[in-house]
Amino acid sequence: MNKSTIVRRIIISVLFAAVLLATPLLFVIKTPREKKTLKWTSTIEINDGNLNPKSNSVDFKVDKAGEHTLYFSLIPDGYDEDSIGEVKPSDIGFITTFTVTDSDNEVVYSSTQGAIFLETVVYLKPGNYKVNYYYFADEDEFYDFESTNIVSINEAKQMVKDINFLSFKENGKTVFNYEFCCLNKEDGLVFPTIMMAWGLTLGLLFGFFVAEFIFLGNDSKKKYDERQIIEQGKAFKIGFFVMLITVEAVIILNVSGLATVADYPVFYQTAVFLGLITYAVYCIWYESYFAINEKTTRVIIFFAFIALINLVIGIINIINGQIIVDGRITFRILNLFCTVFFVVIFATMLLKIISNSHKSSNEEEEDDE
Amino acid sequence: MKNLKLKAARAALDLSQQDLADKVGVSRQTINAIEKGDYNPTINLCRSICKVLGKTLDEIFWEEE
Repeated sequence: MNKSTIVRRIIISVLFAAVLLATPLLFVIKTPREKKTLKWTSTIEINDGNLNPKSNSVDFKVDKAGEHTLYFSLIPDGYDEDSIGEVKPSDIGFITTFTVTDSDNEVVYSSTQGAIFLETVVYLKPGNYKVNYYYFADEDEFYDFESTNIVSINEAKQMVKDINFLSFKENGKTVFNYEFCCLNKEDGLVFPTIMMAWGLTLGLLFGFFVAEFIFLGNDSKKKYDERQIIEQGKAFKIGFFVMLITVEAVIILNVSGLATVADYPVFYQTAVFLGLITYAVYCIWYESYFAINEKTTRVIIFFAFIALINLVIGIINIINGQIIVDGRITFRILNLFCTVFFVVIFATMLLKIISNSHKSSNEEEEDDE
Repeated sequence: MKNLKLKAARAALDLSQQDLADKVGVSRQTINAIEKGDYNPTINLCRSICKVLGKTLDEIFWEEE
């Protein structure tokens, strides 16, 4: 093993280990949501069907107009996010609901009945707002609230019927743990962006690590002959221009506002993939992709392995419905792109073999596979 | 233009394209491309091929009128 290979391996190992070992630190980072979440506790008593208090409220301020994600959590003591579905209004004696009002007391958001753990996106203008939590043990009061604030009269009637207020207990008290947070769009994206960048870095380093130590390490001193190097140069030039044209197309799409059909990484990664595919296809077709001393079987197995991993991840993403979210293609489609990339490479190899054997039989070329 | 001289000289020594490629340190496809006239080798590669085949540059690579 030569000196440069040892140095490269040490660098990859150290970087991979450093990123891997530092991963737990991500969980120490306080996210904007954790920083801004308001938490408090309140006890609601019920005596002979009368509630005390009948409502609670919390104030919050919006500095910048735009879409805001509101997180509401109103969980009785003894329960958590996982067991929230087991909470029965009849056992606590009342039903909860809440509204968000602006400084003019106009309702900007209303929850449906029984909502005690909710996340919603609302467009808010700058100003002061108030979250009002309401508790209902009386079906008439609940009907009035629902029919005027949220739903149609028929739906409100059906709600009252479904809830069955008569089965509610009439005495007791419940301690509620409240959490509320209002995040603007940029704040909401901070942590997912950090996580995504971290994941990409870790994935890339893992790829280098596996390639260096398991699959390709011994072929680190690849030897290409003069014709192969010339062909690689041509392939690089064409691949570079394909990438350049695609990037320009992405910029035009972006400026014209048509780039909203997918996340930005999808567009730019498409440009990289197209450039790479062009380079690889050209090199394979002109037989300059594999080095003279390279074991092609091992490389093909490595490629198949990567393609398979990405295909599995892609299928999982499809099953979980994460490829298209809200009519927009997410970056998760990149795994499928990666699979397509390797499928194209395999298809080119196959076509080249067929083409060579065809030429060989037609021209009686010696040794042509 | 096809390099039939190279092909003939190689065949005379009973060497396959792969054998010749291994001896001069290039890929078999490169020897194939030279014989088919798809690639013009550098002078260094021409000399390596000639040395292996025991011929001069003129004998293998010079085009006669």
